[in-house]
Amino acid sequence: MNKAKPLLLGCVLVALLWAALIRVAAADDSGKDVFEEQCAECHSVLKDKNKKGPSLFGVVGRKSGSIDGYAYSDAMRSANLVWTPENLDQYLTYPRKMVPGTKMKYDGLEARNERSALIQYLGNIQ
Amino acid sequence: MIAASFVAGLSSPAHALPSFARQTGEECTACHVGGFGPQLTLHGMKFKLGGYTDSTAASPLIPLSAMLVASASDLKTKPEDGPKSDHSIQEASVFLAGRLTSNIGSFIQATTSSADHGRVSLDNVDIRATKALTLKGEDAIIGVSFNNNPTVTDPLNTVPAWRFPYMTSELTGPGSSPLLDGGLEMQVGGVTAYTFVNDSIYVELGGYSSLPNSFLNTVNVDVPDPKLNGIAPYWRLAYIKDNHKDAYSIGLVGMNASLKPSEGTGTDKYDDIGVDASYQFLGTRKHIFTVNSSYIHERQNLGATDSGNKYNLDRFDVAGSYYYDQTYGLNAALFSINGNASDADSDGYILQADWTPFGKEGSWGAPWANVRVGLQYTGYSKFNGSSSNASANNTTYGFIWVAF
Repeated sequence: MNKAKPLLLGCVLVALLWAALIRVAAADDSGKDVFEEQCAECHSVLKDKNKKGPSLFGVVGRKSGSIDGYAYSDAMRSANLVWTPENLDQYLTYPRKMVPGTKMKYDGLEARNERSALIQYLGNIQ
Repeated sequence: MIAASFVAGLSSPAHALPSFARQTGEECTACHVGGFGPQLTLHGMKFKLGGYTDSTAASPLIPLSAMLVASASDLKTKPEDGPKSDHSIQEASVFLAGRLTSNIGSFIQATTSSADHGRVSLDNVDIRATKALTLKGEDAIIGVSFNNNPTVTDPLNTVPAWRFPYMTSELTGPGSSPLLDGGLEMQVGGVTAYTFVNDSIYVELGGYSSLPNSFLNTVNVDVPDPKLNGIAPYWRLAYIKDNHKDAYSIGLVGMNASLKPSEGTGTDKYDDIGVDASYQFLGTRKHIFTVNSSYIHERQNLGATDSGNKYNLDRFDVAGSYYYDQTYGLNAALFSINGNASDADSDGYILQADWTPFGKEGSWGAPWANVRVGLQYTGYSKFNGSSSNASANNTTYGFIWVAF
């Protein structure tokens, strides 16, 4: 197979280039970057902008399930929490453990420093 | 020449639909790499597998969308039997695309073009009924799709219906490709059942049959000859891993089809099996890299049209893309089609640069409009079995693609 060799070589070179570019593009651990990586597809930080999840504008200190017009799960509507930094940290670690029945399909953010940075970032969105 | 070679690469179903954005409250970038369809993020794949039904709308919406593609193409050398260049309204489509009920959604496209002189035909159809459930503590989606194009149901951009290039010139293209690669599109009806378990394991099984001539005439789809003889089974397995920052997949796909010409005896059999893999680096979405690759092997036994002769046909594709700020895109692809028929082989590459100014949170026109402008170049080192003068088919192609 005469052309298999250059094709394979081309694929290997592309893979190496990809790996190098990804390393360059990797995010730091700022809260905004964590938000963009983990949350932004389903949540906005704009006021009154609900997506698949509710707006996170002013979420720190907010009562759970309290945005008018957003269709919360029954579990979240009756959770009766206040999103203090401590509660957010616990929820983000494993959402379905803290609020069984929540419709947020997210397995959790394991890295403590990323959770901390994210909560600090959200606390500044008021 | 193999009687039932299938023209590849002349058209692609390719869609980025504002009706989805209006329904979900999400911007195009949530579901599409580069802010424009059809290259899906994992979030977009889940929306599709959920039957296009996710919605944040307070009241039901009519899921209507439209798109328009204006393009210009230029071949390196004028062919004996065709134009050197053209410019046209390549596609004008309307869609019923989105949630119909809480469990049923659709992606139905009707299309016309300059070449069709206003004749509107039924394009891709994918109507789904789905249900989300929990299996032994794991999230799962089960669904069934009624559709008219093998692989159009797939969530990945590795399989033929959704593979790069998402829009390309119709002036020329390789003459042979496996049947699974668009050889049955729009002319068949199929039912496939699927499940997506734990956001990672995707299984799909189904079958396709030729649609009645009367129906094809009604929806302005050319009646094919040969047609499927009975049911063509289709199957798909994939493992998808979503890490939020990045994602990858590996998969297998297959179809076994038997085609019968309207005259003569016997059937032509096509047994296709493919393997595919993909990787996406999404990060903060500022820099996105993707690579999609597939290899399809086809065994042909041409009992009806070639005295029972047997052929092999293989197709390999790999495409990479880089998007900066969900706006500026660079794409590069290699393709290689090889067979033991004399005119089967084609090899080449595709380069594309594109610009997608909208489709982001707060963009102009959101969620009502989006646009992509692109320039594409396709080069051939071998074309339909011949290396000499293959580059005469090299094609420069520019497009403006608008979605409403």
